[in-house]
Amino acid sequence: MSREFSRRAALVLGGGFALAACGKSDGSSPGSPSSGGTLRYGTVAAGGATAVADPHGALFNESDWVRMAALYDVLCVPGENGEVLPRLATTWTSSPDATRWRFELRTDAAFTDGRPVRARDVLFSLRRIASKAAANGDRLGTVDIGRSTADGNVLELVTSLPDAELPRTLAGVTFVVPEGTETFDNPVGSGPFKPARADAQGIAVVRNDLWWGRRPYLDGLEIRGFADPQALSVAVVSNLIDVAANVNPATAKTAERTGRLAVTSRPDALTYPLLMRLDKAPFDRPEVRQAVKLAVDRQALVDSVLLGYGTPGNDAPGPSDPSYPRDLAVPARDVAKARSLAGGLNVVLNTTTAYPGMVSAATAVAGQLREAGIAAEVRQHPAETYWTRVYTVEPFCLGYTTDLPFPVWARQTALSTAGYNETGWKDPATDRDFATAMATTDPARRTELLRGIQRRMAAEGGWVVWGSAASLTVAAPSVRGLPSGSGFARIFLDGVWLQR
Amino acid sequence: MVAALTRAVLTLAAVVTGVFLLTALLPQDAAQILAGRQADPSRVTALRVELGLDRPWWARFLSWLAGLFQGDLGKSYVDGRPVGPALAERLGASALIVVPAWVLAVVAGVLVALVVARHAAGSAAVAAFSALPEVVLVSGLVLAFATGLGRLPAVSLLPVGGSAWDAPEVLVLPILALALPSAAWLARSVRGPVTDVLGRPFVVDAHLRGVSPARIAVRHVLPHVAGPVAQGAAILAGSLLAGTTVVESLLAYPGLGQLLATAVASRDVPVIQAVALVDAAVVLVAVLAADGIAKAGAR
Repeated sequence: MSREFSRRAALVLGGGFALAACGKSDGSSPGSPSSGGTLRYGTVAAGGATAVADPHGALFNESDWVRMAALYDVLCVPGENGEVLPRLATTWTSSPDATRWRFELRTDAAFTDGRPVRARDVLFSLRRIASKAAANGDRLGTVDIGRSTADGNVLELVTSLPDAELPRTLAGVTFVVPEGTETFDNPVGSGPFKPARADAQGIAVVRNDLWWGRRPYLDGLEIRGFADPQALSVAVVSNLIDVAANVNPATAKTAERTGRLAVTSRPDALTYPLLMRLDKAPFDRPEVRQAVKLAVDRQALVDSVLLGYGTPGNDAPGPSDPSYPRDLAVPARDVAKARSLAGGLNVVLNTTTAYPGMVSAATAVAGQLREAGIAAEVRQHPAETYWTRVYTVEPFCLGYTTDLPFPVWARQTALSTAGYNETGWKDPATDRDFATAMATTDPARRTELLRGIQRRMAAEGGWVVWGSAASLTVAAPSVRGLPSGSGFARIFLDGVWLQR
Repeated sequence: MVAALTRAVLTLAAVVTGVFLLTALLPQDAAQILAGRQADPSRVTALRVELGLDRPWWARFLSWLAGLFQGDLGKSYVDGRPVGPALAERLGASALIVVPAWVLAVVAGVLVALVVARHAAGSAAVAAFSALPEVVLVSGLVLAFATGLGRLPAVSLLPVGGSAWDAPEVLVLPILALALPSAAWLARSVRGPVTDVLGRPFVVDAHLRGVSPARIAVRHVLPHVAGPVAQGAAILAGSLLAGTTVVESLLAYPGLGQLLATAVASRDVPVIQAVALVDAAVVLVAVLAADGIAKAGAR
């Protein structure tokens, strides 16, 4: 947070000097953060507006995540570029084979009822998360909770497999409650804010003056979930809320046009890759995959589907990860070569209305493939059936990924041992390199191994990661210090302030 | 009376069974939705067992019924909390917009019927208005009153933890959005009887005697159309409560309709059943009342 702030401040300061030099400073350069005010924060409640109280079960509403991050403390949080920053845990070290992790906790943290936060509380919370693994998407990854222990302010986590990336897996999601807590009607946490009022639509929290961290600038937050994205957009445009988080590109463009609202973006937050199954015709033929990769016009897709809020991609599947091979060039479009490789082919590109942009992306891709002589037909499916009956089943689909750490993503869908495999990528070399990387505690060497996997996937895999979309947040211009890190960094609002 | 009550209870039973079956027929269940977009199949299976969704639908339905008879509406699949209190809270919020909308619709509907009774063009306009899709109507209202005039909030956010009494202005747009099509519907359905009464000798006579139109309406017309108006009003009461979903979602108003929409989206069967029960009960009472009024009128 502090590093992020100083960078921001430097930028703003630089801008201020430049303006002053031009002699037309408007006096709006914000000096140091000012305290006070309540931030009215809104986001889409995609799965439904019902607010979930249990921080350890299924949290499919963004508004629930933001609320949990306000009320509860976590071991560690994601920073910029895949680094992990301390929070309740001040330091962590692993055994040389990365199967035993020792987290040292700070001793000055206390719950809002006055009890100190001990390693036992953290272990209890992790146990609850593990017991709800089915509902929460296996949030703890490789942790073997039965063999993990707590003593004083030291937490020792044992993993079932070597996992040198464990802190990244845990970053931002280990909400800690007092040992023995089973009901959450009156939440007791140790986070930067504490509950004030709540109802079905939202929750109001106020600053927790007992928090160990830097005193939050805001007096409080009002967090609301909107069932309808249009209502969220209207609410921020008409100044009924200060922040609309995770809006679609069209809403961001509209907000920008008003001239009264600021759009902030976290790059590489989402991708809508084309998924070609390696075990199904015609994509079992490398030249067909090559043809598709050459036929798409990546910049055009970024411009038309993401309205420019994104970056063209080079087919490596984890653009937000430090292991992303940035030096790998974005393949240039070569219609003639694509035609010579796969001209005359008929394909069906499956897509869904599940997320904004997935249908328009498929339609645009199909048009580009047709220009290369590949007759592509778009088939649209309802969101309810897409992920179970089409995705991972049909030879050619549109996928959807968020900015999970690359190792977490790979374990889910790209290893031979994955529960499901979105492109049928089963590659002994990948499995071997992945296992080696996860047992490598030196971050530079590990990142290099993972980068090798990403390169191989880009070259030989069935992913066409034509671009990565930014996560877009629309806010009133007075809102400063919104989170800019990747993944779950987005839900921590204790560094936000309102310019007076 | 007993027969009518028996019929009502049977209808109610049919409705909740039908809703249960329809929800069961939807693709995906709560386990799949809770487990997430790209979940491991084994995880979905585990969750299904946890929620009791691995049992056949009739077993689940019977245990829901058994709970209902003990006054237990069950627990939400999504957050594990009892359904009853959430239902009461949302019902209260919906009542705050439905009741005023109902009163407004009845008064405005009758007034419009009186005005357009003799004008074909007017009644065509009313017909067109009552067929207006809610999405268009809500957008139009927001554009006019919130964006244009800047007088009303464009979405109906209540203060967190507070009630609509703290910010009554947020109720205006939802009330208008619910009341206007209902008023048009009522005006259409009582226009016939009104035209009929206006043509009767005693009204024509009063007109010739120079009695003011307002007085004619109150003294001579309204008493004769009270039956159809009351019947229409009763039906409206039911349809208004059961039809708040679109308006509440578009205006982000936390009522019963939005609860139903989100529960259906997450296949939260206990919540869907509870809302269906309340909606069906209100509609049934309304229809029974309408029937009673019609019979009384016939006598």
